[in-house]
Amino acid sequence: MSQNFDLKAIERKAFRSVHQDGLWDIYIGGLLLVLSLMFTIPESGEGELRTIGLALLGVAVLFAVFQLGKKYITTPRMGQVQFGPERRKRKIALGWIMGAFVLVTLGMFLFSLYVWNSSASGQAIDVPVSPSVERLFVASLAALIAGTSMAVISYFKEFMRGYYIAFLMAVGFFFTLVFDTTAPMIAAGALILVPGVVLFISFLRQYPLPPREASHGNS
Amino acid sequence: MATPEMPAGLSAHGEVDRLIHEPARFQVMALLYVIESADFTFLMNQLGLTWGNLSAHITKLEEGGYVAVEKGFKGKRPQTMLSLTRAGRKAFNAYRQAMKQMLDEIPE
Repeated sequence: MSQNFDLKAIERKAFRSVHQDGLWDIYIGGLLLVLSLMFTIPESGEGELRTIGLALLGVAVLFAVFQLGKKYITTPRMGQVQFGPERRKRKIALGWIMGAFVLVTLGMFLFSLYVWNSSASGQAIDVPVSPSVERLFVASLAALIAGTSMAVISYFKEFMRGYYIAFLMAVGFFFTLVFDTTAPMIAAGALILVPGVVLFISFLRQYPLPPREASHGNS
Repeated sequence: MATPEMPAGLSAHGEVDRLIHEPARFQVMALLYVIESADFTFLMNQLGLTWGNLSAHITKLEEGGYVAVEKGFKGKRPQTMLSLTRAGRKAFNAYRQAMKQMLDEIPE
């Protein structure tokens, strides 16, 4: 029997318990559903602005729901905790890695815009691949970025359901872009969101608001 | 007829810290040992203790100088954070060592 192992298990159990509320699942599932709106944007016209506006509003509402839910629903029920220096180091490392992900993604997006604009204006950037191969390449890249970033978050946050979410995100992005239909993205979003809502309801049942004196302590 | 000789490690049993040895207090100490601090609600949820029960154990550990109780506010809400003191960490380590030694020396 290892005492160290037992202590690590206690810490891990405490750390993982903060994901029991299902809010992450609701947030990410909702994001996928909102993003699927973006794929319905018409090529031009008034509908474009309206769809983008709706999608941005959806993202803002989801973010607010996540943050306010953590603050006013989860924390009063679960309690406050501060983990040790190891966890803080991992949090900082995750911040750096996700920052790099965002930069790389932004760089690729800007490069794609440059290539498309150059092709549209008849300049000499010619991609020697067929449209279907190009589509497959873009879909694979999007799936890789979405899936990998979620898997990295799951690893650093020890969020085990996150790997399932990462898989669904990758599949959703890939098939949506390959077949040019929002159905896979909507299905992936729903498959993440619905279990999240179930978890959230179960969390509310399992963790009722504690008595008022619990937040005051013993003396 | 000679009485069987007690394994040497069992003599450490007398030196085990009784304040920590109680199961609920041991759980509180172990949890606070692996995190930095937590409030009452978090400890109650993690350990499955009632408020009254936890409160009584925290009082004993606080009186023993093992747990620091810090009262403050987060926004307008009162918040009591609990953490192990330096003496508490030292005592918990000593307790682990004593228990490990004692258990290791029990013959197969």
